[in-house]
Formats: sequence, C-alpha cells, structure tokens
Amino acid sequence: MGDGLKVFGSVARTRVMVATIALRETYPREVARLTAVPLVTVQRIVDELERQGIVVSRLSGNQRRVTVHPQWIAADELRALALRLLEATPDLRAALDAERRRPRRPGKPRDRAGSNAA
Amino acid sequence: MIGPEATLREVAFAVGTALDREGAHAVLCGGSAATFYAPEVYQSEDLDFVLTFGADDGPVARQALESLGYRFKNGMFFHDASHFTVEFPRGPLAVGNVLVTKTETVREGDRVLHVVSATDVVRDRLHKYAAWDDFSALRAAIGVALEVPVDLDAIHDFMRREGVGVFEKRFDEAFRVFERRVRERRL
Repeated sequence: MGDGLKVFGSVARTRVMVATIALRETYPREVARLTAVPLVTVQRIVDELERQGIVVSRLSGNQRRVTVHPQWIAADELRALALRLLEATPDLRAALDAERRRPRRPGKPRDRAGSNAA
Repeated sequence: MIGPEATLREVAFAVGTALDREGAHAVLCGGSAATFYAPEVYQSEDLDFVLTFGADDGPVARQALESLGYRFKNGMFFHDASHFTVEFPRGPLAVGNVLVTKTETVREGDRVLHVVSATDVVRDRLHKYAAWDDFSALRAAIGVALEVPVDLDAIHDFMRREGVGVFEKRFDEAFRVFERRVRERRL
C-alpha cells in the first residue's frame, strides 16, 4: 500500500475516499475490508469527511451507512475523479470487482469473478 | 456426459442440446451467458435458461434435464456430479425493459445451444452495474466486450433509453466507465 496514490493526502485516505465514493453507499467495515485499511482508521477518515460535509451517514440498525453528500458542491466531480482513480488502483479495483451487490434469489449459488485478466 | 470436471460451457451445450432434442426452445442468459463468452473473467455457478415458446415447454424441459441426471428441487435443477445448477427464470426474455427477439444459435458438432448475443449480455451486465453499483457486473461486461465483438453504439443507445429521469446520470456514467475501460483494454 506504501506506493499507492496520495491524491487525498495519504494512501489510506485516498483508498477510503475512492472506495466510499465508488460504492455510492457503504459502511466502514466494508470499506476497511475492501481497502485493507484498519477499521479505526476508516472510521476516523469518515468522521473527518462528514465534518467537512463531503459525506453523510445514517444508522440502519446498528450499521453506519455512509454516502457522499449529494448536494456537496463538487459531488459529481469528486465521483468522476474517484472512478478514474479506481481504475488506476488495480488491487482496489479487483476487490470491488469481486463484490456482488445486486440481489440474489435465495438458494442460488454464488458467482465468482475470475482472477485472470482478459 | 456431465461430470465434476465439466465446464459451464460443456454443461450449457449438454443441457441446450437435450432441450433442443426434446423440442423445448430455451435460451441461455444472465451471468451464465457472460461466462459462456468470457469464462476467464466471470464464472457463474448456475445456468439460466429462459423458455421462449409455449407454456407446454416446462414438462418437456424437466424431462430433458432428468435425462441428463438432473433432479428438480427448490425451483432449480441439481446434478450429483456437477456443482452447476440449472434454472428456468420466468420469461419473457428481456434485458431491462427491452424484449430480446434475436438470439444466437451456436453449434459444435452435433451439439447446439441458443444463447443471447454478446451485445445483449453486455447490456444486461451494464444495466445491473448501473442499477446496483455492482462492480462484478461491470467487470463481466468489460470482459465480454474484450473477448468478442459487440455493438457499442447499440449498447450506448440501450443505456440512454433505460436511464431516464433520476437514473439518467447513473446510466450515462456506467456507460462512460465501461467504454473507457474497453477502449483502454483495462479489465
């Protein structure tokens, strides 16, 4: 992770922001798992982003759901940048590519994203 | 013969041929069709066939599957020697709000398989990415587009038509991300 992009100040912060924005709605534990950034660090970064008004969070059960604030001044531009940075971060992109987020009928087997690039 | 080493493609041909011989017209679709075109990129564990002609095809399809050793349980077919399950989602065959009327028929020797076109597979996967932020679907769409020729203009038109109202931005973004990664050959 040490050689990663530091567009948003540090590698960890950049990875957390890219994942959070790309996923559109997520929660800190998921971000920590996908970015390989410790959960406490993710929570601290999300707290900072929320204080700046870039993301908003709400509780769903005991889970803190985080989204980019849709009315933040540069929300669209930030998303475009995050998606571009995601393409330049192969390991994070691979982690997101392996995530199935669409619903699955109960009883259906799981799909697997292949590890070989076409 | 369906065995533990059979790939999705082999199972698809076995099932497709058995269905065809019984007179049931069924089309491979969904994630299994993506795997058919790009097996190295996306591995579906189940095969979805949509029966496209007549309500009478149901019992015929069951007979065809049972002749291959499949047994019906909880709405899908299981095989003792293979982890690939087979299911017949309710039709009509459609991608988003668009009915699919033109499909591909692939023949290998005396085996036959009806499958949705690669362009329709990409449409279907991109639709899922746009609707659910499902990056695995995006990867499948890119994988298929890098593996076989697809009609990018038709895919763009489809995404424009599907992404109306509040979804316009989402669908437009999904296509742009897909197109860029295909252009850069960045899976």
